[in-house]
Amino acid sequence: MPVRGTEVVAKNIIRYGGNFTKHVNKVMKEVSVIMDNQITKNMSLTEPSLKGLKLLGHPYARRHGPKGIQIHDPYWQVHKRSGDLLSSKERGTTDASITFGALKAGAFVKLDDKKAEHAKYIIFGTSKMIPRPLLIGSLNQIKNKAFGVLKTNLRDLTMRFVAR
Amino acid sequence: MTPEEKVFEKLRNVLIADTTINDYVEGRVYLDHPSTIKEPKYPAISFSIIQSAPGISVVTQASIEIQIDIWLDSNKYTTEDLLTIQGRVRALLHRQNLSDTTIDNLIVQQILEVLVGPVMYEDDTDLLHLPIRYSMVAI
Repeated sequence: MPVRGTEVVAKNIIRYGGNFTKHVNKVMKEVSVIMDNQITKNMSLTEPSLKGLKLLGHPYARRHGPKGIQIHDPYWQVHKRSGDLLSSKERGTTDASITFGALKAGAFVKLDDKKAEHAKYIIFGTSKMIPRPLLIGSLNQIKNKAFGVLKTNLRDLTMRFVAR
Repeated sequence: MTPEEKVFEKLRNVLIADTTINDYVEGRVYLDHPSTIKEPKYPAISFSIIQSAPGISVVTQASIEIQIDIWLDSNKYTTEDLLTIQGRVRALLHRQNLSDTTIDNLIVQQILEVLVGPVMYEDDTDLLHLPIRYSMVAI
């Protein structure tokens, strides 16, 4: 199928000049905030307490099944205890660049296991505990919203932009 | 059989057939997590489903992400052994054709290594653990 409208996009990018990548970075920053908010929400459960989890028979133990005892939905959500895990969370963007006509840009949220060593055990599990894919699970929850932001901001920029 | 069951059976067959891997695990490629197995022995490899979603074009199609865990006893093995096994797993699975008519007409449309996790050590069990994530579309 032929791709139409590429000339308009290319012309608008050229007209926009160096500010184009700045605009992309701004949009990606917005996406990183959306991801961050969702991940924060999913790693801030306060109930049950540690004692409560013990009384429930360690619900994240793998012996209870691939999703443990599902005491919350989604099963991979994480509790806030000391706050170390939340403090280990970082967000950012990789600077947008255009190389050989291809636009590259990125937004990320990560957990730094130097600040919270247990992060990796939560995400990937242990020989006794289920893996809880907090990051990818959260990303799946907001991907339509994030795509919406990208589509609105970048399509409108390139297709409808009028140079001043 | 579900696409997930078919994929697990195929992956188990492929990994056990590899001499390097099987020299380590001696047939212990578990279709479930070791904690669900009575008295699991190591070295071992196990599979877990991380996420699975129905496909959009074919009713029986599934988009699957799995975690392949490599478990080694740290008293006998090193990180180098973990990485040797991971390298063999990658060579056998990543972008390979794993379709198999003998396993309920399994079709694997694409399989990719998407993440190699950190090397982890569990001090209560003395295990070295390397998780690897693969994504695929299977029918």
